[in-house]
Amino acid sequence: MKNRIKVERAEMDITQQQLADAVGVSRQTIVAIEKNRFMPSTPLAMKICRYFGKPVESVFFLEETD
Amino acid sequence: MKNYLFPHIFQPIGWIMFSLSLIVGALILFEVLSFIGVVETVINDLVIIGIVLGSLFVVCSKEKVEDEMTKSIRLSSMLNSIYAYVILFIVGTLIFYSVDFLLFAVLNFALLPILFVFFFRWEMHRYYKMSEDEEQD
Repeated sequence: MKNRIKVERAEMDITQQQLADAVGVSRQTIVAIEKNRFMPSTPLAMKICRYFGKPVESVFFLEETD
Repeated sequence: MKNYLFPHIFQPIGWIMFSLSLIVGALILFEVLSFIGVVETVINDLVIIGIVLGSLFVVCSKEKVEDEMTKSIRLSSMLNSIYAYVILFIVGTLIFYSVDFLLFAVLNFALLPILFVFFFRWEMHRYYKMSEDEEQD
């Protein structure tokens, strides 16, 4: 599963730390999600999308291999 | 599923217990240190309990920021340590016989917690390093 969290952050001009604090995880976890090294749980993915004010499908995308 | 984790303060306490017990255990094993009578029994018990309880505190204490990724790393480290433990156990069983096997069996009790500490801290080191490599943006 891929995501466009980095793009969304850039559009809102917020740092990884600000997003991490807003959704209650560490900055390292946000880094890992952005790099597709960690797949967030459904509640965490929804919290991130709610913070951006976007639906889940516009931030997270399934890949062919998923 | 809710899992209990010790408060973060238990992590340094665990490191002290674990490393001290490991050092004293190694010194006894290589006959640098020796005790007799009741003292020997008490020291042996303390070393065994220190290694097991210390490793539990090291890996089962909350990180500074505990989230779903640290939980995931903890679980996958447990799985990896079980695989490594089984492989080492089989290899040891095939290699060691008689008195050597008894020594291996004695050491074996501490192998799983030691492997768990090793895998978990190594993965956490990589986890913390991952964000250091990437500049804050």
